[in-house]
Amino acid sequence: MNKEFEKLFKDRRTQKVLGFLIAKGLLLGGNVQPQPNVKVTLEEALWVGETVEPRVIEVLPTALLHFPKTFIETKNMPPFLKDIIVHIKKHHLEGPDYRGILYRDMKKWAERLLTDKRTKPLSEIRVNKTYRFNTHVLQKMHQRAKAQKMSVTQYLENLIKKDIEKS
Amino acid sequence: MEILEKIFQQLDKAIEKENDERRQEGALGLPHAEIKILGQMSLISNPEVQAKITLFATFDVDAIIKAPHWIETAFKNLLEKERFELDPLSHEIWIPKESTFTTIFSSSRLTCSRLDPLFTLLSKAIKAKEKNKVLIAQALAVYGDDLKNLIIKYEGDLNYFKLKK
Repeated sequence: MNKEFEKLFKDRRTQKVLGFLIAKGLLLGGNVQPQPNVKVTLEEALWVGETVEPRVIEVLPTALLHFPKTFIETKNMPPFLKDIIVHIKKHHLEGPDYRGILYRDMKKWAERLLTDKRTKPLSEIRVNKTYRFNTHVLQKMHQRAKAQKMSVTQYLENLIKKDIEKS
Repeated sequence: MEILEKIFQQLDKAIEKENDERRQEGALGLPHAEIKILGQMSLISNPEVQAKITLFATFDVDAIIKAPHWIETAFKNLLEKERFELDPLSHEIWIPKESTFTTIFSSSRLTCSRLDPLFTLLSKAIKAKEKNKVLIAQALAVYGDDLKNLIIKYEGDLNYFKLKK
């Protein structure tokens, strides 16, 4: 390998960041030792993403959301990254791209099950919301859910799925 | 990457089984299918490229599929079992007109090939240079004038791939 590239790939930051992302099943490839238990500064991750492998930026929002304890010194997060993370957290279908990396790709990785199986995809994380129903609607909802051996949440989700399929 | 070959073998077996069942019911078998692997997966699944260039990839698979819905779904499911994801926008990838493909799996039911590295790299250099700067810089050192001339032919920006010292 050309010396210039060798230097980039052998850099301690490259090995650490790529090693972590490979260990967590967010990237594959390269001759990098998986490092599941490292601490990574945001600056290191961004340096690798900007200088060595832009795919690091593609999976960085997911890594920050799912493994917040791995990343240290995140106070000075660049606005572009903050913005992307906010969009993903709010499940926005569209959001900002960054240097040729599409928002839809960054969002996609946040919504899949990771190899450790402990990490829930964002789309499966449940959010508390309050709605006010008429008593008779509420009663019907409970009856219909019970008859179909579902929780009220499952019943409502099912209705919404059917509605989406219809449209 | 052996996983991809394993997936193609599994897909072929699944098609064979489905065809047997269809014939037993008096129906026609599935027509011959063709899958062409593009993008980063065409590079990372190629041992020759892996030996020359340091490559990283997400779990995205870009592929052009000429097959009935049953086969496409079976392929998607097999990919998902191995944690890969078929990119639904694969058809938007630019394939240079002089591109060549190498067959990596072939049977009477299924032919699978991958875009040859020079053309995958050219496509990336022209259409996705930001995401592939270091990759193309490495590739230029490996493929030399062959890649350089193609990038010039398609009015790509060779200077963009010069890394800062």
